This record gives sequence, C-alpha cells and structure tokens, in this order.
Amino acid sequence: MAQVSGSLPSPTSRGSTRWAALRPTRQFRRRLFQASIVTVLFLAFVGGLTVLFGTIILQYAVGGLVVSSIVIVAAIGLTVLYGIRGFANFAYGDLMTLGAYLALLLSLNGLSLIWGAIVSFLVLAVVGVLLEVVIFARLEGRGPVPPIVASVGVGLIIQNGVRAVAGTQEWLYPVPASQDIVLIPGVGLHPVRGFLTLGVGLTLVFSAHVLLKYTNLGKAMRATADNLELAKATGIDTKRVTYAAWVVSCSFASTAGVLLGLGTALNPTMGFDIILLIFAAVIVGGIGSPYGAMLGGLLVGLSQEMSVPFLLWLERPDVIGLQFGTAYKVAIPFIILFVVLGERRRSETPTGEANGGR
Amino acid sequence: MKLLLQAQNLRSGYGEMEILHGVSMTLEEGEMVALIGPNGAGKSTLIKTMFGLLRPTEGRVLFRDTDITGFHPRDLVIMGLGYVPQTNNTFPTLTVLENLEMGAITRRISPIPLPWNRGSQKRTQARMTDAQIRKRATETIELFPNLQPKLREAAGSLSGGEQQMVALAKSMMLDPDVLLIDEPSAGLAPKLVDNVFSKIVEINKQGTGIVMVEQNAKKALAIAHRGYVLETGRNRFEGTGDWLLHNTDVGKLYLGGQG
Repeated sequence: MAQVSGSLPSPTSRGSTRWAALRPTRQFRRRLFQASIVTVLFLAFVGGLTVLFGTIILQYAVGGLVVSSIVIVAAIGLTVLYGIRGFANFAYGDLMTLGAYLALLLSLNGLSLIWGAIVSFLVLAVVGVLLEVVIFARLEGRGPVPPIVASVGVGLIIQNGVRAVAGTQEWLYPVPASQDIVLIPGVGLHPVRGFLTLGVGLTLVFSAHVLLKYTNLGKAMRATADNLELAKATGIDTKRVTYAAWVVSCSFASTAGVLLGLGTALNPTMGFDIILLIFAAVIVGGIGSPYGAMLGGLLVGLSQEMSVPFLLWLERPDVIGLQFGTAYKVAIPFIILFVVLGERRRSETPTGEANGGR
Repeated sequence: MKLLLQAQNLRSGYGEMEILHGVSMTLEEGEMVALIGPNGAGKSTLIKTMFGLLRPTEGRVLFRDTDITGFHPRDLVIMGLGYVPQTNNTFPTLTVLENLEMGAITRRISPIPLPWNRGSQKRTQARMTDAQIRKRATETIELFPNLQPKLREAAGSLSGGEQQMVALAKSMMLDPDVLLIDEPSAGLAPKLVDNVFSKIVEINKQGTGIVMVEQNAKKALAIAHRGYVLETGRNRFEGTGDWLLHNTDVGKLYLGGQG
C-alpha cells in the first residue's frame, strides 16, 4: 500500500501555493467590507446622537462597551457548549454566580481579587468537566430535552447552594475606591469597573479567537460543532472535544461572573437574572457560532446602554412621561432580537447547517 | 490477491429495526466494489456497519486478518479505513484546508506532549507533525486542481460538486487502504457525476481499495471491478462489473430506467 510520509514534494511548486494561501480570499474581503460599512454606519449613528444629545451619549456608548464585554464573554461560553453538546445550558447564569462567589470567597481569605478570579477560572473549568462526567454524559443520545431539564436542576442547586453558604445579602468585591479616568470632558471610565473589564473581555475574546482559529483543538471543536457524526467518522476524538468545550464554557462563565460582580454587587441570582440577556446575544449571533456570539454580545450591550438617553427623553412629561423609563432598557435587546430573527427568517436560504447534521 | 475487507453474514439495523438480514461481501487489495440495489436494500447500512457507525447484532467484519466488528470509527481511521458519507460530508464552517487537516487529525503529533496524547494500540501508520500534515494537504489537493484556489474558503460556500471533492480529498489525507464511499453522485448534475467517478477511479489506481454504494448502478458497475446487488437486506447477485451489467436478470430488475 502506498505510504504517506517520505514523498517530498518539489520545493519550487510549494513556494507559490504557500503565498497563495496567505492572500485574503474573496470571502474574507467581502466580510471586511461588510464589517467596515457597519462600523462606519455605527460611528455615524453615535456621531449623530452626540450632536443631538451632547457628549453624554458617548458616556453611554462607553458604558455599553463595558456591558458588552461581559455579555460577550458569557455568550461565547454558552454558545461553544451549545455548538458541541447540542443543548442550551440553563445553569450557565448560576455557573457565573458560582464563579463570582468563588472569587469573592478567595479574596476575603487573603488572596487578591485577581488571583481569586484566576483560581475561580480554573476551578470552574474542573466543575465543567465534572458536570459532563457525572450528569450530562449519561444523558447523551436521549434528545435535547433531558439535558436542558438537568441543566435547570443544576442551576437551582448552585443558586441555592450559594444562598445557603453566603446568605441572601449583597456582597461587594474589595475594589479600591478611585476616580473615573476622564477620556474627553464629560466622558469617563472607572479604572477597574471600566478599563479592567474591557481589557479582560478583549483578552478572552482574543484567546477564544486564537483557540478556535489557530489551534488544532479549536479546529476540532468547530468541526464537531459543524457535524458531530462526521467528526466521529473522521477520527476526531469527540470525547476530548466535549471536555474542552466544558472547560472553555465554564471558565468563561467564571470570568463573566466576576466581571458582572465587579460592575454591580454579588447576590445569589446575579447570573440567573442576566441569562436571558446572554441568550439574546447568542441567538442574535446565531446559536452555536462563537463569532456570532461576539457580534450579538456587542449589539446587546450597546443597544441596552445607549437606549437610556432615549428612554430618559421619553420620561419627560412633555414627551409621554413614561414611568420608570430607564427600567425598560433591558427590553431593548429583545426588540432587536425579534427584528433580527424576523429578518433572518425572511432572508435565510435553508442553511441550518451552521449546526447541521444533528 | 489478498483479502482486505470482509463482511461475514452481517445482521444490523437501526434500533429495533433490522435492515441487513445476513449480508456478506469481500474486497480484495486494490479492488473497487460497487454495492447496488433498490432503495432500502441496505447498501448504506452495510458500509455504516462495516465502519463501526452501526453495531451488528450478528456476523463479523474483518480487516485483513483483524476482527474489527464493533470497533470505534476513530480506531478504524487509525488502522487505515476511510469513510465518505452521502451528505453533510464536509465541515461547512471550516475552510477547505482545515477540512483536509481534520482528515489527518488521527495521525497528528501534538507539539505539546500532553499525557492524554499517548498513541493508540491499533496504530499502524507513522505520525505526522503539523508541517507534514500541511505538506500532505498540498499533495492531496494536486489530485483536485479545481480546489487549489479555494483552500482558504469555507467548505460550506462551495458548490455541491466541489464539496464532494473536498470530502474525497479529506478522506485521502491518510491514504487509506480501504475507502467506503456512500453515494458519491447524490445530488450532483450528470456532468459532475462523471467528474467525481473519474476521481474515484484515480484514487483506486493509486492502490486504495474502494467500496462504493451507488444508485447510479450502470455508471458504478462500468467503473467497478466487481459488484454486489442487494435486495431487502440480503445478497441477491454478485459478479464482475461487466457480468452484472450484461446480466439480463439484473438488468431487468435494477438497471431498468437508470443510466
């Protein structure tokens, strides 16, 4: 039988193809074009609003980016697991809570918050693998409903476990008090709650990108999310890929939880309360697609925060005098979700194969 | 000639429903065998069972002299078998190059020596580094020149014929001893079918034994060395491609309107 290795191709024919591989493809150029149009439109939109409302809108935009980075980290974790395991993990919000409280516990016992967050990141990764081994692996092949129900149960156990240990009162991370850093007059950002959150979010998004695009494990994860049966027939170790998905998902949940707690305060339902928002981000971007989750998270975070000035305007008695106007900001992402889903349904050719084969 | 792959008296199916009621077939080294028969005859079930995607309730599958009944597909890939499903046979969001890389994943040496990267007992082929895999991909793609400019495009954005080529190329990454192909012509225009078939012949000429399921019986028998006609999960006829093609019984029953 013919053997693979040993037959060296001639080096001359190789040089040109290697560079051909680096040239951007038509697809890539088209996407870059689309992305730049969206960016320009968005900047024009913000610019227009700034003219109308003043620099305050920029403050909300920056705040929206901070919220987005939390939502994106969580959405990546949720969508990666969905892509590979094929079920929506309703315990995800509570895993975020667990991660946040773990970091709190460690930071109250001598570790700095940063180290607490790192340890919590690692512990949650182990928790993820344990969840798969102890619970979800047993439910494989029984359709999508049993694991969803099980995940709701896991969520309740975690939430009430946290309540039992830490009580129902709110906790605050030991963040040193400091002034907002002024970006331009009227627009500032807290060094920890703002800049650190943005930085951590960007770092995790970048690492997710490197993992998925440049490592063999990441490619195998995307392949498995594309088509589980084919992945098995190709010889991909789908078991290992599943564990990797749990590790990524739960460790990202931990960090998203810490960032969420950093922004406000910790309470036992902090993660549960935000899970719908994260689902909205995941679904806007196309469930199972990490890059979609990034886009969806950005859309959700920005739209929620940037709708505030508009809602404040509606609150004015001379407009419609909307009661508690800003409370409606959480509804805005879902309006966007409806619009996106409607549009997608209209424009979509039957390409459900983002997660095809299952 | 040495026997490469054997199915002995296989009984198999989906859950409670038995589709194969004792089917046997053999494949010799370097041979191309076509499995034909009407819909529901169990052609696809047979190759899925041989590839470990379905577990037979009775019978054995032998690869060379090893009993591989019930082996995990991953182990079979490592041993030198390949399988190309009928549909959804590429990873649509991965680029063509990444699809090919996935085809060689069982032989990849991780640059990081992790404890769980130990080799499988059933491994017969040498392992490859990432650079070797990429080199192998550029070699494999030479068989499919029309894919050359599309290496970095998502497989899902290619046409049906091109995707079928990607699937074949992907399975050729490890130069398997046996390739099981499920309906390579499914959903393709006649002109493309000829194209795909000529690639399959080329692959076969390089020494890979091929078991091919086909609806398009005439074309399949024309290129295959031997053929098996299955009917309702049982062997009905077998013989050389030529003989089956000109056998009046087979012709009347199964080659009727097709071509």
